[in-house]
Amino acid sequence: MTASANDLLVFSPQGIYCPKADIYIDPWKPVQKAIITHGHSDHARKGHEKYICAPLTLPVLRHRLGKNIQAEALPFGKTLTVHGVHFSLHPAGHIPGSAQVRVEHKGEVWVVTGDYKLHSDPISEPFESVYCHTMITESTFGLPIYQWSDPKIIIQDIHTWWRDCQAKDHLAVIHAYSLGKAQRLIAELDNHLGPIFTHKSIEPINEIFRRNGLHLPQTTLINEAHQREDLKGGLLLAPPSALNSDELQRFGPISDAMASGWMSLRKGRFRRTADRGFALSDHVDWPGLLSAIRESRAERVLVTHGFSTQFARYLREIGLDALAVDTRFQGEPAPDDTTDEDAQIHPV
Amino acid sequence: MRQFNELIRQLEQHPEGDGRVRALTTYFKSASDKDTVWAIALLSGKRPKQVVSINQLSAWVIEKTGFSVWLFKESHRQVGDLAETIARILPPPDSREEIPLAEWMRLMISWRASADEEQQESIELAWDQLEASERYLFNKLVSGGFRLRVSTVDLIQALREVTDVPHHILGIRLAEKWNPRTMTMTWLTESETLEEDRVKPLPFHPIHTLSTPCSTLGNPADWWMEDLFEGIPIQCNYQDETIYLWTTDHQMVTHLFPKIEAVCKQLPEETVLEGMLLVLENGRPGTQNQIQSRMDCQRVTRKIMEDKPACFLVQDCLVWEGKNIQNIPFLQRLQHVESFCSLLDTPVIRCTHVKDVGPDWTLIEEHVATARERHAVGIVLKHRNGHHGGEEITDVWWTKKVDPLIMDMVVLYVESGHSRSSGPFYELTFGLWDTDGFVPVTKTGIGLTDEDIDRIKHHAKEHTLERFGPVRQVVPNLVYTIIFDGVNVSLRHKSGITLMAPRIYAWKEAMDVAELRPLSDLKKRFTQGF
Repeated sequence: MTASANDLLVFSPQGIYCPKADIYIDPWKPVQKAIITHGHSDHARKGHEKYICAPLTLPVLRHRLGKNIQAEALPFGKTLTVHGVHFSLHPAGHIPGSAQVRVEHKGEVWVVTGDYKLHSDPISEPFESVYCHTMITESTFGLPIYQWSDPKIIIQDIHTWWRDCQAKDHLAVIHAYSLGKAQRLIAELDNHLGPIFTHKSIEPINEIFRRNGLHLPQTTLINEAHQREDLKGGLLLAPPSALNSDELQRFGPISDAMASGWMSLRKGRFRRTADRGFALSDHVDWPGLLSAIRESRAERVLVTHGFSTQFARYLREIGLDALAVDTRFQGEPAPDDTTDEDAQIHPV
Repeated sequence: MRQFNELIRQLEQHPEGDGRVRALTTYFKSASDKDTVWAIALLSGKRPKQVVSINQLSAWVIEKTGFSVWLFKESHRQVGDLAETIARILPPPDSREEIPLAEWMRLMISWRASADEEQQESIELAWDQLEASERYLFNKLVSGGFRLRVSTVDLIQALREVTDVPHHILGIRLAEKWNPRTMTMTWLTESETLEEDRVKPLPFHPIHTLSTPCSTLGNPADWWMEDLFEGIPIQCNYQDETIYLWTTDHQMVTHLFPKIEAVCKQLPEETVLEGMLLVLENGRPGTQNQIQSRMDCQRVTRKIMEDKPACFLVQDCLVWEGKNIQNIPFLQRLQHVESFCSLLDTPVIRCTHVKDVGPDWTLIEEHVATARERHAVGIVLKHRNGHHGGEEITDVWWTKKVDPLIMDMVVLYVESGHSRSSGPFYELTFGLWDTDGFVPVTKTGIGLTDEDIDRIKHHAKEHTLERFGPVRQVVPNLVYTIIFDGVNVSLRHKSGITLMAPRIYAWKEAMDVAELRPLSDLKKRFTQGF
């Protein structure tokens, strides 16, 4: 099987492209019209003339890409029709506002999953299975060694660790991506254990989500005036870029942890210099990928982002029509911490 | 297994020191006696032989999951470890019945006699009951690949906190040959006090650095001197046909030094000697690293004894034939050993060579300065009439160390971070000219002042060439004077050498990198010189 020129979606040098409607999905080079699945910087790039995204993603894009971008919200389930091609967004469960893109033309349906996860969390709209003929799926964790434990157990582990930190009088610091993971933690952690503080790259996102109707428990933005005593017993959320940097040292001694799917492997934990790793991921794991594909009833699967070659090969072995999309499609990693780092730090 | 799993996680998080002792103590307090015994056995290197090879486990997991071999291999490539790949590739367990470590070990050992199919069935059942990280440990244990160790010192310290048993009893027990299958905590912790009090180490003789001029010690004619070598202080106690070799932290190390044990058995019974354990290199005293690496050997093979021959340098006699002589003058005590050692005439045990200081203190400085030529790191001054263990000025042994070596080097890499124990740290890699540019020679952060740190921060900010995680490569134009205690030849390092105990002395503000002496100069001056 190969992608043919008459396909509803094609893989162009700019990204996934619908020639019939002249619309791109998560392109990484400037284009006229782009549908953006979610606000992580490897999906939402600067320079497009027009952005289309889910309502909750819109303020995030404005915050990250500039107030003046031309952007339009497309609510989940509503259809946008361009030259006879119907586009609609459906929850992907990755972070609040993250969407899969359903594309239909004359009865033929394609779905671009963007990043997604099946485990529910308190703030992201739960993943919605969408029937399709062709599914373009991510495969960040597309090997059978990635099978997540119940997130509830991981949250309990984090609570235990937080209490240990309190007993040792260490400040508990969790390094988590500013957009999505941080807010998920805020919503899932038990704030009766102590106050939750946030780094300056995280709090603006909290504010955006709160203004747009998400319930997030109260958090306090740390500032220059805060001293060690002010944070006593608390938990600080900071981006991964703050790991081992000087800026948190004045709150020392600290115990730090990373929350990421890569922490499920021992080498992931040892490679990072944090004390602890919690394997809490916002991406779908191996069994989740298989179940999502099954549920979608897709006849054909195109695999991107991650272990695409291996995962596509496995899908073919179990009788699916599957193809890994050229890895060049992955684009360049963005250097800033606003990236969804789960998708960025690929073990080599 | 859950508690043991948590202990291992903690130990891996704390590569050394207090954190390890804390983790062990917590475990010993909560685990059953049987589990504790097994944990001690496993962590001190008494691992059971493999029941099933890791390759066999891989074959079974492939069969169980139905995955193709290529997918297992791809997974292994990502994980880098077969035991972990197997642990992770299986789905999470349906049920989790907690089976304690000791019971798992009993089961594993019992499988050794089983037929292949039975082994496979038992192991697959075990996988279904364990969570991934427990499964990883299980795979390591069943395939004989469990290699995590903790030092005897840490084990003793942690056991002390939970049992109240004297250090030396724990030291003896841990050093003895025992089988975790049959050993009990009672055996480990109960002692026949009267018997064993006699074998415990006496307090070691106090040794201090002399920071005042030698003349403050009084009349030079009363003082004797000997060379100070790098080694490990040791006491040898011979009782009831058994040699007890004790370190200062109550490790019993007799089993690591069989030749010394054999020779010491020629001593009269009920005798206690004190001295240093050295490793000899070409018949000359070796470095601290060499003796330490010899101590770290788990099993003493003939090759190790040939490559790293150990020597007991006897420096004092505390008890001779059952008579405590700690309070007779030093020179008289030493005479017992001198005659004994000269009779034996073996490189395995030697008596220290003490010399008269002479009529005045002037010769001392010269003697210290030339120490390196004799493979020594300084000298020790001992009063002829000093008592063993006393704290009087005439009892204490005073050391004077040779001046450190000195060399100017340029900063090549700056690493900053913070450690759990000591907060923020800076570590600098220093280099010297070699044929094609600068070569890293040593790495240290010791001796940095606050001004140095500010200067380095600024330098790293302005002059970073490349970043490798927490490490920055910087423009090589910041010169420091480095002091160190010696140079070792090393094939593993690009420069071909390592420095002993390097520390930062001062910033060479005015120095230009072009004026730095080359690496070859350092090698020539310090490795061939002695």
